[in-house]
Amino acid sequence: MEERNTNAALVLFAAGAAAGVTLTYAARRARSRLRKPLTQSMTVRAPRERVERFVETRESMLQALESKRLFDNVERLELRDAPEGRGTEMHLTMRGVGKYAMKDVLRRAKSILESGETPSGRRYE
Amino acid sequence: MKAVVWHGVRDVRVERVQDPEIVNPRDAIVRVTATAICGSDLHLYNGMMPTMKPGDVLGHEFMGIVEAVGPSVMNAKPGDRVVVPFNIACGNCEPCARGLWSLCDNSNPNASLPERMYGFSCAGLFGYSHLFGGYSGGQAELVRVPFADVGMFEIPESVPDERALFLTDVFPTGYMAAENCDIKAGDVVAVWGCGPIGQFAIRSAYMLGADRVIAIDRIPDRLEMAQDGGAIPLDFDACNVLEALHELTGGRGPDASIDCVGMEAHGVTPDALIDKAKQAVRLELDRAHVLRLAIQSTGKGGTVSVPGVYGGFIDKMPMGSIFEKGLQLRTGQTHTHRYVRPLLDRIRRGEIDPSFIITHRGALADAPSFYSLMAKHQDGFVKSFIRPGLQGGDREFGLQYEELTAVES
Repeated sequence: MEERNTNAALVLFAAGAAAGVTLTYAARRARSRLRKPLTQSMTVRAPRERVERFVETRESMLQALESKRLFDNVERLELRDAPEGRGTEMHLTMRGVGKYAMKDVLRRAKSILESGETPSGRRYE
Repeated sequence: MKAVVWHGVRDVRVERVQDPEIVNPRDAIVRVTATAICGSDLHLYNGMMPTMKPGDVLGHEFMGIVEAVGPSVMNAKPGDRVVVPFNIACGNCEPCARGLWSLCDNSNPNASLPERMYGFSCAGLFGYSHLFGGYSGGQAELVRVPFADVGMFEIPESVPDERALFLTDVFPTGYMAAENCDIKAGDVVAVWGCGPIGQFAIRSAYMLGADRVIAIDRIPDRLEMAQDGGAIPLDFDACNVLEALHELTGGRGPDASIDCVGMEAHGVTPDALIDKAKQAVRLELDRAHVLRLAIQSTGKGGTVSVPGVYGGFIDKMPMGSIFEKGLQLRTGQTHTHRYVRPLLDRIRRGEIDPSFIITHRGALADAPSFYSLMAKHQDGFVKSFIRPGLQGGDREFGLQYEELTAVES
């Protein structure tokens, strides 16, 4: 009788834990979808017209985003002149994407515009 | 190809790995003719630098012959003999345009990692952890050089490998450390740590007009080499360094101090012991004992220049001493690209022969034993000179080496 009670308690505990993990996961996903849009900024050492041409070209932006899926997350991309001819400021607003992922998007765009390529540290196996 | 591969703390091996290939249009492939182990490689060897992965190819001091270039590299061709700065820079971003090559915005593919730690990212480095891009290094037979159109410098035939190799890091690093001191006539400079960077900092300080250089270490061979460079040696095990520096400067303190030790400083004072304990349990990344002493000893209005590598957070920072004495703290990875040509000119004019630093010569196969010797400060080890193209450990190597050296000179 005592053994049966212990087993039942274990099953209940496992079911509770699984439900807890699932609910936490679902809540996190929902929160990330509903998350307030974030804005991240980066300055490109290039004239505004060049940056405008880049962001208006779907293939170029796809290189920066690295995923077609992310197009839908872009809410706004504003360009401003940086002071004293220091280039063009990009202010990107996205929803459902983390701060560093957004910075990586901006960094890839900046790298292509400035250096003509995105860096790769691919190692030799 | 063969390469020196990191496998874990104090575990490096020479292994066969895949040959590198051109990945981006501005890449080049260089066949390495000479490479060396840097003091900062020991931070990787000792497991002090985070984000290393087993299988990473080490080495950021190397030179060689260009084997292939990508379609966008117009100023170099196969067969060119080049040195390659240890930091990778695009040459197009704002920091590069300002000559701050080690702060390149575009060369670190893992930029978000250092950004989380430091607020902003630094440039990519060859063979120096994934924090700095995860690039494979030059302690290998072949290496891929990104942004090769700005990251390779042709070396004239009249300058042999032994004199050119150290333009890739240690000579420019020692030079920039001295330049950061804004040395004026009559200045006394204290150099903390007489490893390779310290040795070049001593000679550079004199080139830039220092009146006296005081070299601080505890290893007799290194102090002797410093003395050969004109410095006044100070053995920190044999004296109270702060008092000795006061004495040697007539109570003024050095006008500038250069910390060439960095994150693995040794000491037996309470702060050094606490650092060691905290570092062992990862509560602190850097042991800053020497930096504290350098700050404490530097005279009023002086400069503390820091070429020694620091990676994270330190505590017990004597900010009061910096503030109340009005010190300047000048730091940073070397902007190597800025210095290669001017320092090559100094070598060609005979102002310095950087090969004085070499104490051990060998082939790639000797690299693991060189790491061990260097880490333990054994056998008078200061600097290695490694020929990846040669077989190591036998008489045949010695003969090949002599032949090559004869051809070069």
